[in-house]
Amino acid sequence: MGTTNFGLTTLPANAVIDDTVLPALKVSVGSFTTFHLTAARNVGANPLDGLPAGVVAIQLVAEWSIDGVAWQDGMSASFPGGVVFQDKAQTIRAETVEIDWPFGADFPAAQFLRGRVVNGPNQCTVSGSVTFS
Amino acid sequence: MAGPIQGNKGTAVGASSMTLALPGSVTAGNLIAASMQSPNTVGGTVSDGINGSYSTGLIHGTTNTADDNGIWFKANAASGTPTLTFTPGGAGNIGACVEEYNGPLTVSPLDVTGATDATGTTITSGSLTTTGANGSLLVASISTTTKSTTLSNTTSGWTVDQNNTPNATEDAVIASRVQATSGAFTTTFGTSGASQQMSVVVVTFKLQAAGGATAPKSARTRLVRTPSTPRGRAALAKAGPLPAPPRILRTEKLVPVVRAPRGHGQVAQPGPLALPSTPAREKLIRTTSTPKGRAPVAKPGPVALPPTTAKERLVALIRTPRGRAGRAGPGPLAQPPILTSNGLLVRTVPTPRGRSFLAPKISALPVAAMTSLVALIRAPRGRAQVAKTGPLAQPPVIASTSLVRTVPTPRGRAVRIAAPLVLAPIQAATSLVRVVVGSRGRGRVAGAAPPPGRPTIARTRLVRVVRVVVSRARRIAAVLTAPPPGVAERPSASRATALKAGRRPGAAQRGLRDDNTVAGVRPDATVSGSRANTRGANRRDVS
Repeated sequence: MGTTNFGLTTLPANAVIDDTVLPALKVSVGSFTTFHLTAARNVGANPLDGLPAGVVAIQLVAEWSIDGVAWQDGMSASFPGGVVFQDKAQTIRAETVEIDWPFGADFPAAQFLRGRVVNGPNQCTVSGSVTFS
Repeated sequence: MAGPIQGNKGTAVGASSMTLALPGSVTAGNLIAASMQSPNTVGGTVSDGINGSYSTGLIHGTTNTADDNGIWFKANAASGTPTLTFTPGGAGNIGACVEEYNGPLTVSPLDVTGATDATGTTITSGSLTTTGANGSLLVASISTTTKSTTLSNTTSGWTVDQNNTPNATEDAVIASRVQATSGAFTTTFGTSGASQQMSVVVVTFKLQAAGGATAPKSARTRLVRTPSTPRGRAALAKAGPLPAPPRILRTEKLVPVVRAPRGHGQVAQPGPLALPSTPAREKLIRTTSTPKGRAPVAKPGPVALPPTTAKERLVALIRTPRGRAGRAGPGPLAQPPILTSNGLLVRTVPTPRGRSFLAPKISALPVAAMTSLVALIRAPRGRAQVAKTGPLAQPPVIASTSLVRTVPTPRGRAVRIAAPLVLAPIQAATSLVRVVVGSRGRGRVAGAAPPPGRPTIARTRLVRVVRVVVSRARRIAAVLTAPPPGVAERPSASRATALKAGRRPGAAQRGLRDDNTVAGVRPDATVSGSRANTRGANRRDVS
């Protein structure tokens, strides 16, 4: 398992955090089978919960590659601003945005993985981590 | 054969939408099924950039605290590698699975659907009855209240195509079964955790035709592939199973990889592929599981055809005389298997030493060709050996509990196999022989050819298995050389005559009387085999 944290970061509108910014976001697959990328919603001056509700505030992306050059879709998710609940009863407030991708069994040809954090139309502040296991 | 091809799965926390890409290109015409579990699945949609919006199989708003559950599908999918977008009715946690299936109709494949909510450690769908004329593809997904539990589906015939459990966000599973003949069914999921509220959704699709053209996933699970390394040499990409058939993705080169006895994957051929063995330039290898769970290499070299399309090249595991399973041999099977009356599929295969043994459990069923079956016999010492490797002179007779037949041995003598005859082997009347139990309990052959004046009716060579008292053996043999009463009767004797003589109509042709004795055998002989029963209350002495 390998986990790399990224500290509190202010993302301008449409900014991207990828492996050119944070090299740990790209790895050789090796024996990894699961990719996990998470960011806190309620940190800093511009938390996601404070952004307009219903508007995509941030996007987390996982991609895979055979050669480390050409990248293909793996999975991704879009997260809105405003308060979001995790459960059906609407009682558990989401404090993070996360994607969890157990790619191992389905993408045996993958040799490289990378994650990206793509900000939406509003400036936001996040902190989080990427974990390969 | 219809079934799952490839898929993907994932979860997201507090998301308004999620995407999942398929690993490789979809085969045009196939069906893509997608399941989504979320607090707000109701009102959700699924789409991809190639095929557009997906049709709703069933969206189920649960009546308990389990997350809502739904299955969508796209029939007659276009070729390409789609990325599906799952959009629930509102933001929240999302668990999603996608799987490509071969076999469903390309137009209006959706058949019956159903959903069930329950509380416990298992949940069983309500009974549904499919209507597809050529069978059905059954697809089910489950949602739960408690997360991070391991979910499974152990229903016979079902396979879990995608299992994203345990998962802290959403436990998501999609399972399927190909139903060869449409009809009623249920499916049961279970959780490893404590009792909780769950929901299961089942969607069924009509199949185009029985069978199909796609390799079953069970075959693919034993394949691994290795892509090219920067130095151009193949290296092991992953030792685990492949969920989908190997595909050529740009520069990758496939080489056979085998699982070593200690469970570690090894490259069978370290270099690049020399020759393409299939149009897709794939090199596949087949491994078979041994009783100890080890998968030996079926054949280290390239396989001319994928194992799923060349059943005659499947390697059969065999049971040797010492009870240990071994590899039958790298070459093609010489004979197809046969189905015994007790439901076991057996076949005989050539071993490296050229001998055939019984392969007790074969899951695949190639075509039957009884004319080339090798007969297995049990020798006097209880060890199986090959009676004859060439075609059988006569087809085997299916007895009520076991396959019984007699065959000539290499020395030209006929013996019978170990299982007792329950029914008279009248279907193989031309070459059956008599087996007599001798003084030490061992069977000996009375004679491969019928003795002169043998007590048979209508010129049949009826098998007569006789258990004799040791001291009477010679006397019986002497009697057997003389025609018994009734032998002179022609088969055309009327029913009335037969009844008057105390025989069942038709019994004359089998040399039997109503008292289950064999005509012509001396009183001190006990009859066994054929219709005569030597055990229990039906055992009778000949009189």
